[in-house]
Parts: sequence; structure tokens; C-alpha cells
Amino acid sequence: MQSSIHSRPPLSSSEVAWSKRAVARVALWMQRNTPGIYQWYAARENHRWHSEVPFSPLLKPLKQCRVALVNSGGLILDNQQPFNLAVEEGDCSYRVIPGDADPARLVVSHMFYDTHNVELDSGVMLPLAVLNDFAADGKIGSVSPRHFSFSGGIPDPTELIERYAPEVAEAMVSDEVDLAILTPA
Amino acid sequence: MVTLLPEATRKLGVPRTLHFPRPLGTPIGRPGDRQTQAHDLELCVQAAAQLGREKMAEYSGDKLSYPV
Repeated sequence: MQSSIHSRPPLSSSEVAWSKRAVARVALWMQRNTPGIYQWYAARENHRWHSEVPFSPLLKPLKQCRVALVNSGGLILDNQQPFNLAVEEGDCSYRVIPGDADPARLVVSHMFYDTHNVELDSGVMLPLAVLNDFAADGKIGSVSPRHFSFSGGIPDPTELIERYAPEVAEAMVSDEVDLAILTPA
Repeated sequence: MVTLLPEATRKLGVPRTLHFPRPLGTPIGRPGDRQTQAHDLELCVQAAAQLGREKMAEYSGDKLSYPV
């Protein structure tokens, strides 16, 4: 069993200051011990960025849909650049996870949730193996060749809204994705 | 989208969401248990096919309920 990311320095492209690691520990403590207060805080922070969210109805039966997975649990391949967890505004960038990625090569670059379970099994955040089973069983049409990982803990999502999220949306259009399933940390 | 923070998700007006009542960090099934992961992911694709704008399905007590 691996130790939790919170018992060692987080996987980050830049060293994270002790003060920010302390904030992450407080967030974790709240998630465990005062989940209602944490949810109230998250709702208040999220509401600052409220705007009209686009909606696209599903246009095909599931059996014909190509499906992609998008997560904000900070899952990256072990040869990819970790997210920069040190920056104040948060790292809004993303990593591309190929559809045939080996789950054993996925590691976590995130420090604002309890990573214990996802370190045991990345399938709880990015269930690629199960999605491939669904395609083999005919429950969905096919699995997208590309999936996308973001890191959460982003106090200022401006760059996410203006640059990275549209890039990922365009990539999924290019891959002819019909349905994206988002799994948050 | 799966949500583990339904109040925050509702405030943002995110369409087509499925709330699993469990702690952050484990949105799909249990670690090392492909069956529970398949179960939850299947609920996700079903919800995506059935839910409309600004609707949140709730999973509780082994049952999936859709908003009226």
C-alpha cells in the first residue's frame, strides 16, 4: 500500500511552500471532519465564477456513442510534467491520457483531497478499463483515443475558462466524442 | 458529470449531474473493485442519456432517482 500524498511532498513541477501545504491540510481536515462546512465554503467559492453553463443534449443512442473521460483528480502518466501546485491561482492546464494508457503508470499530482483510494486504484477516478469493457460489451459505441486530466484546487479559473477548457472541448470534437463523463476529485 | 459536492454543483447550474453521497476522492466505485466501478460508470452513462438541463440525479440507498 502506498502512503498518502499528504504524508510526503506533493508531486508538483515546482516546490510547494509550507504555507500552501498547510492550507491543503486544513482543507483535508474540513473534508473529513466538517464536510457540511467544507461544502458550504466550496459552494460560496464556486458561486463567484457562476455563469451560463452550455448544455448539449445527447444526440445518439448510447450504443453508438464515443465516450471520453475527464477528471480533475490530477491523474497524470509518470512521464508527464506534474501540475504546478505551487502557483497561487492554481494550475489550469491539463494532461492528455491516451485511451490505451497503462493504469499502473498513472500517478497523482494534486493535494486538495484524500488521494489514498486513487493511489490504490486509479479506476476510481479514471475508469478506463471499465470503459473499455463497456465498448467490448456493446454498451457504448467506442472509447475515445484521448482522455483529459485537470488538477483541482484552482482559486482563479480564468485561464481554464478562456484557454484550456475550450482546447479540450475542441480536441473532443476532433476525436468525434459524443459523450464526456466528468469525474471530480 | 459526477458530483460529490451537490450544493456547489447546484449553485453553478451544472447540467446533467449525478450525485454520489461519498467523500471526495472516490467518485467511481471502490478501489480494487471493478464491479462497483462498472456499476457506477453504468449509472453515469444512463444518467447522461436521461437527464436534461440543470437536472441532478441522486444515488442513495442503492437506488438512482431522477428529478421530477
